Amino acid sequence: MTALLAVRDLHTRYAVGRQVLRAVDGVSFDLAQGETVGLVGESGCGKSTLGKTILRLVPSAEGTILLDGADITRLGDAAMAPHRRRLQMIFQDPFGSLNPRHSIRTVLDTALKVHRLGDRPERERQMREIVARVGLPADSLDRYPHEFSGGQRQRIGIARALVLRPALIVCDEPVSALDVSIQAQILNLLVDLKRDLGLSYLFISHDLSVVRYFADRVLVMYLGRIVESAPHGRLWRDPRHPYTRALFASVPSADPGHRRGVPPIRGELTGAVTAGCRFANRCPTATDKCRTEEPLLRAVADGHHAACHFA
Amino acid sequence: MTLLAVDRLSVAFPGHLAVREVSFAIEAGETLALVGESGCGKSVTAFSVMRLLPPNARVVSGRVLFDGTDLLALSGAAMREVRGKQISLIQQEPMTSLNPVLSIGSQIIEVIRRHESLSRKAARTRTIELLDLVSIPEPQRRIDDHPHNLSGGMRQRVMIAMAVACNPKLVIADEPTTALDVTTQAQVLDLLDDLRRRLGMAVLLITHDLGVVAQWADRISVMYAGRIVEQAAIGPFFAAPLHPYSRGLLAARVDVEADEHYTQNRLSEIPGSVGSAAGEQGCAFAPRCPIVVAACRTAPPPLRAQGERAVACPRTST
Repeated sequence: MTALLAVRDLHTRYAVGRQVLRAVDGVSFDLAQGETVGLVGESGCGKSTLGKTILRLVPSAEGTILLDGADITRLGDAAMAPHRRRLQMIFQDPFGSLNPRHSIRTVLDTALKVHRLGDRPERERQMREIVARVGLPADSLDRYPHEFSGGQRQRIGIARALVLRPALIVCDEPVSALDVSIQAQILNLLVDLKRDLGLSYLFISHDLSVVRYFADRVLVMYLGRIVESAPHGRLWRDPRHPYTRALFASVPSADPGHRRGVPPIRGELTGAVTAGCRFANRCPTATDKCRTEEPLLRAVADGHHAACHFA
Repeated sequence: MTLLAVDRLSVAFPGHLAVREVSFAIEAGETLALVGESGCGKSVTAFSVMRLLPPNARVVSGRVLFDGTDLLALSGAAMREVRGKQISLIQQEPMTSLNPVLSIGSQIIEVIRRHESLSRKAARTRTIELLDLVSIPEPQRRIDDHPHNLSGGMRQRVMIAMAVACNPKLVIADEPTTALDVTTQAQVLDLLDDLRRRLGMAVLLITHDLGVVAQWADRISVMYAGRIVEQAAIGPFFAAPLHPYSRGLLAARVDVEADEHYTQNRLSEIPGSVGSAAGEQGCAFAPRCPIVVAACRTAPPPLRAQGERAVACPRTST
């Protein structure tokens, strides 16, 4: 069976002054039909850039992106259009991604018109259906973004992605800007939609708790590379990469009796990529080998890969 | 000994009351967490204590007693002696609190010399010590760096150095780690907690993250729609939150320790949104409350003591 999404040795580079920033530096993974892949890492690790590169919102430097087996890496706008319909996105800040002068009807109808989906009555029917499906009030179509609360705006963002009946949705920090009580509502909605519509998600988040709950498989990203990937249960039971372990240990527990030890890593993610392992300068167990020889992602158990000499 | 006592404070913005009859006390040397969702009034409460409210906000009633003095009654000049010296503030985004065109050293030196009669040279030596205290490597060199040379975590360390420069009795930290990564968050909060012990400060920690509260606070005050709905020590609170809003918040939180997955269980939701509190005659949480009864809709329930804790809900008891 071919994967819904297959990413092979993908690179994305930004020019920063005279320097080149390798935001995504050789990433490969598959995403199966109906699967939710979680992508976690600290800010600046390249996870959002990876999402945008897959969506073709920023150009890739090298590598291939296959959607349903079709190479979409370098398609022109016209050739890309049918694939765009199947590949949608949900952003962190729904207010920043909605035009304040457009009613919800305009937002949704524009998407349908661009993709020539149905005549006017058919589009109206689809819009009403999607608004109800994401839990917005029936009169929402004639209202404007500012009339909605943060949680409702995110429902509008979800409606806009869904109205085109996509196969895969890239969710970039979809609940990070929301309050805790609203986060749970939106996550439950995304779970329902996945089950009812057979969706697949690439779920990008810095919040390990949310990824732990929501993903079937997790990719941990550090400085442009995947450093560990595993099915969700296995990753949480048995993290192999010291960075993954450090991330888990840093999340504060809501049990005051469970006191944390000293944080296992010091310092912060820096852009400097030197020889050897990218994590070596923060790693509590780094050796001379780590500073000279870059560890490659290798299988450490069934379906579980880690890029550490000692995993 | 009570260091800060906020007494029935109400703060109004044009058209709405952001803080309603809020009372709480902070003992010397302790960390009190003020918790709630965006717009609940927690930051407005903190800014009232600092007397840094925006011009369109107005303190309607109440007192802010700091070491027995009502800060709200002080002259502007007297308040400037308190601010930065007795009480200091750490904000969420250090990049917007630091001046981008001045070196970090000159900004800390300015704070020290504003409050203490030290020579420029002595203040610089003190600043290097402070940068060392907050674990900034090579402080002699870093002191002349500008904010953009530093990472987010390092900038927040600079803010902490500036906040503790004059040995304040109270530090107000408003979402100090919300803009930081988890690995950095733990380092920054550990640093703040360590300084609290070593320098004998009290900390008012404003946050929306219950994990941060559980790990770094002594007591918690939960706010909803401008009112405090529950106050308790950390242990009893997390063992058994009493107010239905506190319970809902804790239940809705996805805990990284919990073995929960979408294939096995649904997340517990608090239905609706905080917007439903507008225009509510009774308890602001009533429109979203799972145990609401008709009596809840008549008047907002007062915060009542239940042993060591206090709850603003007559339908709960220990």
